[in-house]
Amino acid sequence: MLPITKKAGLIAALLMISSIQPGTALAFDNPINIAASPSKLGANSALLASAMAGSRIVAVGSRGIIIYSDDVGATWKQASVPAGSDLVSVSFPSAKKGWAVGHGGVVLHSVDGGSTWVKQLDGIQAADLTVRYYQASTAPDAAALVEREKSLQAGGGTQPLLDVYFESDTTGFVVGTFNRIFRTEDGGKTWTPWMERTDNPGELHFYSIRGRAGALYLTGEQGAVWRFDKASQRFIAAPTPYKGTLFGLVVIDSDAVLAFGMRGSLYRSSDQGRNWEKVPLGTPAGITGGTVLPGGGILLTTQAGGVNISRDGGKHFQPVKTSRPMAYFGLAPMDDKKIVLVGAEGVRLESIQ
Amino acid sequence: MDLSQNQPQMAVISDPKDFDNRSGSLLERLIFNNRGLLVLCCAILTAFFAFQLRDMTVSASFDKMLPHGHPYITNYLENREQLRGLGDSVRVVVENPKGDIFNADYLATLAKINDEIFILKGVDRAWMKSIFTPVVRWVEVTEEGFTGGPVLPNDYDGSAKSIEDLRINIGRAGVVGSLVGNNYQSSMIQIPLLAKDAEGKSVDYHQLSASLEQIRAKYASGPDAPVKIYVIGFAKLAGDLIDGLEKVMVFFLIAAAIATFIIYLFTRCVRSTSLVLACSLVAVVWQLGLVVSFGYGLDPFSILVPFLVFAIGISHGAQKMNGIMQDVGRGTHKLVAARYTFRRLFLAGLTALLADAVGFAVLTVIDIPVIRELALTASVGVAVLITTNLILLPVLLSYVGVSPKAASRSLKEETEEIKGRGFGVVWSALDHFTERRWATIAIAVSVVLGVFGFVVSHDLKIGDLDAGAPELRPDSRYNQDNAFITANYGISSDVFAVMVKTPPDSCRSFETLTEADRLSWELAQVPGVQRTTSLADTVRNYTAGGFEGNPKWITVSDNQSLIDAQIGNAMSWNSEFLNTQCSLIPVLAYLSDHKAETLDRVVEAASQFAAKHDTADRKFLLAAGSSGVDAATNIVVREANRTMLLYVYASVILLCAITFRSWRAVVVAVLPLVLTSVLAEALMVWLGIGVKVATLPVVALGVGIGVDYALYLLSVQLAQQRMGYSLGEAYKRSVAFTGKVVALVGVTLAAGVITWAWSPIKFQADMGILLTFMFLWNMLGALILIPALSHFLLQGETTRKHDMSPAEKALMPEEALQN
Repeated sequence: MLPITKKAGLIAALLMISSIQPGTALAFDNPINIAASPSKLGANSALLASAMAGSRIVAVGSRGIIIYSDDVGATWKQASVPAGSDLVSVSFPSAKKGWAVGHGGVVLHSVDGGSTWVKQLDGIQAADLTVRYYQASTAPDAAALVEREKSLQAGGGTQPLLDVYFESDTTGFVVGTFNRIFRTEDGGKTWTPWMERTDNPGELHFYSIRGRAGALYLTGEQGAVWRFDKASQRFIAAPTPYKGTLFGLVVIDSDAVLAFGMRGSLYRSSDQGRNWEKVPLGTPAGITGGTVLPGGGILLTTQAGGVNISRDGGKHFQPVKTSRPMAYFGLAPMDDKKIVLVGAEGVRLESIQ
Repeated sequence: MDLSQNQPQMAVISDPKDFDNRSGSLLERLIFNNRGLLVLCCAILTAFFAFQLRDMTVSASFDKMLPHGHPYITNYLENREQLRGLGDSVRVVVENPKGDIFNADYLATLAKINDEIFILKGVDRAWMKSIFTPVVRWVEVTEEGFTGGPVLPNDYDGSAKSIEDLRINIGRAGVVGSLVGNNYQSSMIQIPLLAKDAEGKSVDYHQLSASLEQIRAKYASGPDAPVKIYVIGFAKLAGDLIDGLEKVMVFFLIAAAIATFIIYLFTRCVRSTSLVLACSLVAVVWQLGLVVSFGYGLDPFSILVPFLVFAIGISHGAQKMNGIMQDVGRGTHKLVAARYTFRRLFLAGLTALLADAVGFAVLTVIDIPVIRELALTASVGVAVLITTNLILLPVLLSYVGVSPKAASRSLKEETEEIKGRGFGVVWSALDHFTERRWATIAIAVSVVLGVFGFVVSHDLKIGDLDAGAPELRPDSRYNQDNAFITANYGISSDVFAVMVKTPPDSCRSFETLTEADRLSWELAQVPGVQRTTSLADTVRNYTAGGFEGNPKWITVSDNQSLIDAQIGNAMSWNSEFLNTQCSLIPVLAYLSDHKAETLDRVVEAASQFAAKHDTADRKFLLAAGSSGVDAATNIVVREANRTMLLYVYASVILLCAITFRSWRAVVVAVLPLVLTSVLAEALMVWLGIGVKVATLPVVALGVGIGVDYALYLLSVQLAQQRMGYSLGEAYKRSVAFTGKVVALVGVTLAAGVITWAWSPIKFQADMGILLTFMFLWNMLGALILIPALSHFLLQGETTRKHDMSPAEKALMPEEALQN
């Protein structure tokens, strides 16, 4: 046998075995490694997040589904996606460049407005990267972070990424479970763990990261919110009085911010998270998404199919009627009057009066 | 045997003393010289079999309708016990026709119905679910963890406040679409059934179905009833089928009445009519008695056999009568006439019955127990007929005789017919078909019909085409209930299940769940699949529930500990999506219909997936669920339909070849049958009947029994031709002697099965219509096409000198043999 690489040898061995047992798959393909299967059901299946890539609507969801529409939602195409993992979040800082993250710790990247995607990172690579990074790091808690990551690795599986936020075509964050946060400054070519830069001793899960007008926040379990402090280049704790998980947040301006979670829990701070006030929304349903319209209106969606709007910077909300409610998981504004809603039954466009 | 020797043996003998008891075959002597003993034996046997009938059971076993040899069915039967979600259950929906369910009166009625169902025999009480049973709980994630309780508030007292609490709990429990209708106007009681009751007996579907009907009658009858009740489920369907069978038994009386009427018209003799009727009934009693003795019962298929046995018995009996009447009319003593008739017709009857038996026998090639049982019981029936109608009937006739008036009338009629008067007008019209012009027209019309039928029959579908339970009519109560429940609850009654099999405790692995999820997603892409679901969906939702309902956690995590917790929940909440060993998980696809194309597409997608993803430890086994069974049945039926046509035609051709010893005659005999088969398929297309388990026997019976006509007509015609008569003359004589018999057989057979068209069981109705069509059309085909085809193919037979085979002779009436 010619000297061949380890990988090629393995493939050769697999081929030999498979020729003995034709038709019998020998290995299990992890969804992080194989392309999402083509489906006509994308626009009607569970979608977790949506974003505008210029005038194009892009939505991501379960089983590596990414769909896009160039005609205001009339027709949808499925993007070519190299992973079949459940995707939970998408961010397009510009019309062409976008990132999507999800389970399996995958980070997917598109440079053509969402038509085709490549995998930049997955949970296995991220764990290796984290271990290597902190082994070489001189940060005071580097050794503990190495230990922590190794113990997660030993537990098997991967750690999911639960949100992505890019402030520009080059710079952005991905966040996930157990204090997991990575930053890139080169459009995702390289990722740097920022786990030592969070005030998160409990290693709580991060559920969302959003920025606007120079402000940047994280939300997570146990009512936790963190504000990015430019001076110290750290995420410092800005906790709410709430005890449950905060699913997401809406950054209104440089000072005002909303954080929301299960059972209609909604908190507002007008001083960068130093003080929080509960905003009554009048629903027992979990709040799953929020956004700021170009005209300044703030929209929130709930799992019970509710959409609520605030015209006063998030102090008061009124329900908005939608034509065909479903359990909403997220939304994105197309313009001041039109929004893209995603949820359990796919994607729907609605007008806001 | 020489004809001149035959003649004196059949001389008119008015006194039995003048008759030589030693004449005739050994069999004849054995029978008629011991006729007292024979009658006694038959009486004892009849009494015995009639006594056996007390054990007769009427059942509708679905297992017997499954093609057991097909791998899908093998897989299904092997794993059936494990498939909880596909298990035996009944769903009862109680609707408030005047508003929504949040009404004190409605809820009070529902509570009573719920309690009455709860105590029914066979109900698996622990798992009965409704908004009134404590196992139905609401669970909510709060910041502090899970909270919950039964959907029915513990302090429920029918007050406005407790109804409001109930309303909230229903919302929280997420039971809308499963236990509460989508429009909130009805609620469902899900009733899982025990495989075996406390005494170890399996559930009596008929009794359960009747009890549910009693409940329906009690609460939901009349226009002012406070509620409407809808019931579906396997047990109800089986109960309805059994009810239908009991109705079909009444049809037997109608068929018997029609047959009696026809026979009476034919003989105009009460004595002989009663005798034919009695012998045919004796045949039915023996046949049923034997079936019971073998340990079988009546099912929707085998109930066909008594009808056929009766009809065939009547038509053979009538032929016997015909012979005896004429002999008696000429002045022969009844005993001698009976012996003459036996002598003439025993072999002919035997040949015809054997042809029928061939039709039944080829049915055994189909690997479906009901069909095999049908074949077996029908063969038994035919064997019984040989005794009762070929032997017992002439013997009884030798005692009873016929009314002299009818006898002389019969003789006169016969003579007139031969002269072309009376009914003879019809027969002489048929003679024209031996002439070139009429023959050409008849054949041209047949070719046009054949081509038309062939083109139409290309649209012939495999399987059942109507919505709902195909066993019953689309407008039956059951199917209306089914349509209501399908429309108001998110369920389809057409479920295709792939079983994912792993070693014990391995169904929980990330790999298995991911593969199940992939299969589910793959099947969801297939057109005609409305929705798919599997344990993976349960795990997805439970995982999200474990993370405070956060939709970002709607996933099958690759962290095994996250999955394990959800599997534990699924187990303790009695999930239908895994077995207790965690070694089997069904992936369910709910289909929009059970049309063959839909099933084919699903089977194709599932098999491809299985071929690609099967490993040593993880097998994707097709197929369970109603649609899985349908798919397997379709595959078997499609195959069997071809094989059976091949076999039945091969055997009919062989039988004809032996009888006629001429390939041309075989062509003449078989082509009309082919036309009937083609037109029957066109009729199926036109009536929207697909090829299915029930239509398979029809094809075989239609051809197997249909060839009788050709056997009668052609054998006489050929004999005449071979005696030197021209084709026209030969056919004329043939039709004069046998035309009436052919018509009689056709009409009595059709009369025997036509009543089925009104059966509440859809497939029986389909069988009735098709069989009637085939029996009648084969008769017409024989009377018209045999002379027409003979014109082109059998002219030559006249000049050919040939000795008749005994079989041929046997088929000839005595008169035809007289020059």
